Amino acid sequence: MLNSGSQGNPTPSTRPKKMKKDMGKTLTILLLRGPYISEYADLAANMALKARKMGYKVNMFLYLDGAWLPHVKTDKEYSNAGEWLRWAIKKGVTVKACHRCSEARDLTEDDIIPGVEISGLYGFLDMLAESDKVITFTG
Amino acid sequence: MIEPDNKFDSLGIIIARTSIMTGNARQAVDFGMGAAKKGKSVGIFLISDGVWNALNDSGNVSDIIGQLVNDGAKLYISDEHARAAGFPKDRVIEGAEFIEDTYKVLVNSVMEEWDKVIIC
Repeated sequence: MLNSGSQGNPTPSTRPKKMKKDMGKTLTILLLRGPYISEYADLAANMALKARKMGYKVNMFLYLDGAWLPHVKTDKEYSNAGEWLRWAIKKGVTVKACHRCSEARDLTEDDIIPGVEISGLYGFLDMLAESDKVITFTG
Repeated sequence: MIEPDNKFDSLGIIIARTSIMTGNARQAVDFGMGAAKKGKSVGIFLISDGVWNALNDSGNVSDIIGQLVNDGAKLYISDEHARAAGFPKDRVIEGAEFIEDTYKVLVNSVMEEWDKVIIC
């Protein structure tokens, strides 16, 4: 498996702090896959972070096994999707995890990265309503 | 096969897996071919293990991608992911463009270039 974060992208600690202004468009990313089973979690988190850095408003909704992503919460010796998600949240990406999916996996807000709201599907509908583009990492 | 409708002008296909891992890549490029035949602009972005779909001599999906490129489709390949995978650049489909800043071009394509996006 490739590790997107370790193959040339700057690490979070070397990323520029300056943020561009909101470009007025909103991207919502729906993630249905957990980390370490495919690269979708890495791709989704990296894409969210880059879109935010480029000035877009960005939402992520974590559904089904995507709810596992914010459970990757400790620093590791290698870049990982949890790290990219933490950085994305720090840069202003709005992240919500499906309540039912989290509950089914015994995930509470104490188990996951701070800044992720455990939300009902209505939270996803709100994201959809404001989005210019919605992309889905699934399958 | 699902036929493209007339509600969009441009289609982006992001492929993150090999055609051996899933039939989704084949379905997506078939859809892309259908879209191209209806005059839609088509772009393909290969990331992660999807870069292997750009081998010019592997048959199957790469043949269709090559045909799409010949017909005017844009083919982007993540340079970062190609290097990580050890992809042999001397065997790449003609007309492909290796992209250094993968996510910048990917985000720009999704937000500004493509009306519809398929990820597989």
